[in-house]
Amino acid sequence: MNQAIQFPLAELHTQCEMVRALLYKTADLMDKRGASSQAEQIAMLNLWANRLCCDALDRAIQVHGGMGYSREYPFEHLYRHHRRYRITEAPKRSRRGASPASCFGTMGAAREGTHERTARRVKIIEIVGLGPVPFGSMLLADMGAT
Amino acid sequence: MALRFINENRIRQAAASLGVAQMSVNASVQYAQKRIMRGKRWR
Repeated sequence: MNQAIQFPLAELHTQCEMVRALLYKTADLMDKRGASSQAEQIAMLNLWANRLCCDALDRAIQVHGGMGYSREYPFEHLYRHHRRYRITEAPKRSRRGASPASCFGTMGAAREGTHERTARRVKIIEIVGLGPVPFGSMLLADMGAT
Repeated sequence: MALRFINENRIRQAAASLGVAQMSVNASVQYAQKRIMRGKRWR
């Protein structure tokens, strides 16, 4: 097989395995400690499973050539279907677990006060309505740019 | 209680997405293996 086809597929397969490992672990912990105890992991999972799904379908369309785009194959339908989850799921809840506020605000260092200022500013950004902020803009906020 | 259902639905949705991702990777591999380009296979 051509390596231009092979490498991306191998990467996507690896990512599938990674997401699956987190999925099984989270499902196991949900069984053991209750369904609502793993909200953060579920948020991470939702974000990455949907992203991976769209990436894999995009690659499948590419590998299949023009036929992947047609309705002969299921890929374009599935892509449209699962692209929606990145619109409806992501902004509301699924990024909360993967957001810096969750990483820094709920972890030990922030609670002990070392990163209190950063955590507070991230919280303010979230309240103002910019939503979950990427790491880059969080650093800018900490330097006083916003 | 409501949070429980939300979490269960969301992990179910993540699992569905993962299944679709795995299916499309498998289908791509299968297709690329049988595809013939300019008279010979792609490998």
